[in-house]
This record gives sequence, structure tokens and C-alpha cells, in this order.
Amino acid sequence: MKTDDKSFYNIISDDEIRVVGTSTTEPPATNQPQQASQPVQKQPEPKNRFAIWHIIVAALALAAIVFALWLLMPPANTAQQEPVPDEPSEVNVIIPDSTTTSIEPEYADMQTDTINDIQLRIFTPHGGRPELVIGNLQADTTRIILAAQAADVRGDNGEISGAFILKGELISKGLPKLGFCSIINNEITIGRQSETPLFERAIEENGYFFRQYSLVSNGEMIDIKPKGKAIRRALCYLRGSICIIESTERESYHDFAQALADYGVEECVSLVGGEAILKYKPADSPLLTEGKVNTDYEYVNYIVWMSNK
Amino acid sequence: MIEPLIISNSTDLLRIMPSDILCIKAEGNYSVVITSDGEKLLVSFQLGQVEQMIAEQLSTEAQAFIRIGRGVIINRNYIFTISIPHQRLGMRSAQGHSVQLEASKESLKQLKHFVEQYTAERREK
Repeated sequence: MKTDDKSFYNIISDDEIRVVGTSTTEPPATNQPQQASQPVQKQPEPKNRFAIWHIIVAALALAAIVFALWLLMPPANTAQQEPVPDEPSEVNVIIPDSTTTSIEPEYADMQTDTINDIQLRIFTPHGGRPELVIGNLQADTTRIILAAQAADVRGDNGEISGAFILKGELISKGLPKLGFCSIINNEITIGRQSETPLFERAIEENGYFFRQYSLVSNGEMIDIKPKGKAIRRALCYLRGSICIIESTERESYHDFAQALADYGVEECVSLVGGEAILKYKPADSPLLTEGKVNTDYEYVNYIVWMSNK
Repeated sequence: MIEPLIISNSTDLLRIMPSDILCIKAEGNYSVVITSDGEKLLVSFQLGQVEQMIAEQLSTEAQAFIRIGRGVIINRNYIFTISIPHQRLGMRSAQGHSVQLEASKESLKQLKHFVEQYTAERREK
């Protein structure tokens, strides 16, 4: 009797014997099978042992997969890893136009507040013109009013995660996340929708577009898959204006999204958090910079409110 | 017709009749084929792999071979002595070449019982 299981031939203890060509330790069939097999019946059935081995191997493989997934989970604070795609929900899809607003102010103020025991910093730009920038943000610091890292950059290939349009040029395709932000003719729109005409408009009208996690949609929090805690940051539509809200402590996406919804945010998409760079210019002081500049990837990108002056 | 056993890798080939094999001993990641005339042939396969080759190539002839523990495959036609207290298994070929192998008491008990049963059955036939 043959067996194709190669591991079978490696599984035998020093207290066992096995007639080669049989799949068990039993001797070949005889006229007195009972007697002939008596000595080897003391040994465990190899098939059972295979089953045990298979279970052990399967359990180890499963543990390895779980561990690998845990390692690959976006830690959040790093923009280099693409989080698990957010599954769309028709209930939560909103019309992006409802969150459209115009931005005109000229500086960025920062306020703190607390909701659900989560301390938030709210950066609101006053003036300037929002746009997306790829690459070195240091080049034109004199005009920056508010800037933060926008779309995630994939750690595996260094490309931007999801659709990204820069001055009408399509830089990246894809829909890993349902949240989006478009900037077209100084009009900034954030929302949650798998297909939006603003994508085409951004191309046609030399605008900007990127995708991120939607954390709050139509005033309701969105519970997204990535776990772990980090400093969270989001681009939010709050009480009629656009702002960037950041948690001062490491928070889960869930708690952060819930806090934003409870705080009154109507629509919001996440930004790169953790140690990602944030720049803002208060009304009475020069440009302030927090976090680290990411020079590891070519396509590190920012949403920036640039002064028109 | 009895087919030879072929143990082959990318560079070497051993073609040997089953009756010419006295036993095969594990030697780390390799195996040593001890022939009935006392020659020792090193092959670059683990004992389990050799066992698989025997099983796959020799069909019913494969049952002339018995794997004893992790360390050795014997040709049962050449079993000469079994000493359970001394944990010794003596093999001797028709040409008079002999080899002493070590094995666990439990495995030797099973082997002894198997040989006795098998011999008794053959006599009854």
C-alpha cells in the first residue's frame, strides 16, 4: 500500500517498526491477522498521528497567519502601511455636496477641547488656498498656513494608497477607502462615497483629490477595521468649516471616530497620524512644525493651505 | 520479475536489487546502504526518503523491508539474531557478511513477534 504523504515516512519513533510499503505499523496481512498485529497494536495508529500532526501544523500555520496579519496591521502612526480596505456601506454613503464649503481665512488657530475623555486639538485655517502637495514640503514654508500629511503611502511599493489627483493629473488609482477629499477651484469637499463625480471634475478642472478612511459620515461614526492606537488626525467638517482635528494621546480609530462624531463633526476623513508632520502658522507667531518629515517615499503627500500673499 | 531499486539524485544513481540490500542506516541527512556483500554505499537522501522510494518502486517486494525506529531499514530476509535484553539485532547475508544493529527493546519485541508470526504462517501454508 502506497501513501503520497511524504511526512508519513518521517514519522516513526524508536519504539516502532513498520513494514515498508504499508501505511501503518502493522505487519502485512496474514492468515492470523489478530495475532500478527498484536505487537504493533500497542502503537498509536499512524493515521491518528497524522491527523494530530495535521492539526498541529494547521494550528501553527493559523497562528503564523494571525501573527503576520497583526504585524501588517497599520500601526497607525505610520503612513507607510496601507490599512485594510474599508467596506462600503450603503446606509452610510452620503452626498458629498452636502459638506462642501469654501475656505477664505489667512492663518491657522489651534484650540483644545475634550470629549469622551479624549483631548483634541482643532486646527482651523483662516485664509489661504488649500491644495495637495507631493514631495518636499520644506520648499515653500513661508506660504504655509496649515499642512498635514494626507493620503497613505503604501509600504510595499511606495505608491499612494487609493486615487490621488494632483492639479488634474491622475497620480494614483484605486479605491481602498471610501472617504475622499476633493479640492476644486478653492472649494474643498469631504465625504464618503465609492464613486463621486468630483473625481472626474478634479481631473477636468485641474483640481485635487485623495482618498482616506471615512471616520464620520453624515454625523455618524464609521467603525473601520484597523486596530491599534496612535495619535489620530482627521480632516473634518465641523460647524460649517473645514479643520484638522488631532488627538493628543494615542487613540484607537474607534474611540477617535466616536469622539469626533460626539463632538459634532458632520463629515470627516482620516489623515496620516502618528509622528507624521503637521505645520501650522498661528496668527501671532511664525510657522510651527510638529512631527517628523517622511523622506522615505517619493509620494509622501500633504494637504496644505497656502497663503495667497 | 523483481525490479531493482533506483536511488538517484541530480548527479548520482544507485541501482540495486532488493535482495542485495542487507540494511539501510540513517547517517544524519544521508543514508548508508549496506549490501549483502558488506559494501557500504552513502546516498544523499534521508532514511524516510529512501523508505518512500522503496515503497513506491518495489510494490509488494517493498514488504521485505522493515523500518525499525528512526535509524534503520532492514531486509527481513537477513534477520539473523534478535536480542531484546542486549537491544541487538544481528543481520547476516547469504554471503556470510554480518552487521550488528542497535534498536530499542520495544521495537525488537515487535520485530521478534512479527518474525515468529510470519514464519508460523508460512509453515502452515
